[in-house]
Amino acid sequence: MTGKVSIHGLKLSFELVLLKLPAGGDPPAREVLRRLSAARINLTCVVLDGGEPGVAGTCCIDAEDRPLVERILVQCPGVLAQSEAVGTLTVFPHRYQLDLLAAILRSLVRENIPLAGIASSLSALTFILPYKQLDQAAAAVCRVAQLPANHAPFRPQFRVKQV
Amino acid sequence: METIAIYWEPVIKTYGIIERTGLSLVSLALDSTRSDPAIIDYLDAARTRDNVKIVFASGATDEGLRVNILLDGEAALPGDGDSPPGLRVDAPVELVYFQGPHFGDRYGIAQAALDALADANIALRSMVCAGASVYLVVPEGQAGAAGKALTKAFAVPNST
Repeated sequence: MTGKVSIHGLKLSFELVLLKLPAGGDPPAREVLRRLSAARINLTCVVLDGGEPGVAGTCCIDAEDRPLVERILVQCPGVLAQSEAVGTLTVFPHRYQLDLLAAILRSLVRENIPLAGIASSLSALTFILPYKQLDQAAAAVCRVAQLPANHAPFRPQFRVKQV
Repeated sequence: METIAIYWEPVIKTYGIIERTGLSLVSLALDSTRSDPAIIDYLDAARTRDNVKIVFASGATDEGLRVNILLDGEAALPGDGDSPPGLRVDAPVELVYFQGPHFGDRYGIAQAALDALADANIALRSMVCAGASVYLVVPEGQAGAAGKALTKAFAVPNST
């Protein structure tokens, strides 16, 4: 591919914790998510795969929820709250084209930035990455994707907490 | 700065529930130890011919990160012997998806969707929640039932 793929924006998240839900866990993944929901824990990103021996996948929670979630996970052996913080890098719009995904994956691999997950939404592509490497990842993306003039990667100025 | 919000509502609102059938789910492991992993070769070849619905990957299994691409129609695959190692195709599959107000900031949305499918005995192939979007990939012939189950659990504009 030659040239950069045009994008409208690049957003970096606050610090997050990655939860790994194993297939065939006891309790199963759905029950783990039910317990998190009962404790009013927001899942900022969820990717689940079905099949045998059961649903497995990952989800992200806000880092400030880690203490509460770790207390809940005491009763959920097998579910891992990754110790290394993660964050999300969200690029928009994706326009349902594979060029952008291919270019970003290639750039992240070249920079040796490990990828923990991908999730697309209606208009955006979200990459889950080590939090300490988010700025490096944003620079890697900007080498293959073109932001509008006078735009730069941004972080939200406030966080929303549902009560 | 933190903003406190109260989104509680008796039935979770959506902007509508959409069903798609006749899809193909293509997946490949991302071997980040290679400088040019097979998934990137596949994407380069597929980018002009395939209509993508969603992309997702999780690294919860022992095999590491597996990138899944949900495509409209049949996946155009390389000829025999040319397929990248580890390429999997699950087809046909179906998709049900919806968006809702502030979904990215609210707890309980994914759980409500999973409960709706489980209560209707619908097998889950995959679930992807990001931003305000919820995507549910289900086996062939299940999108209609999944859509009905979700319509009972969530508020949709034409049913309220």
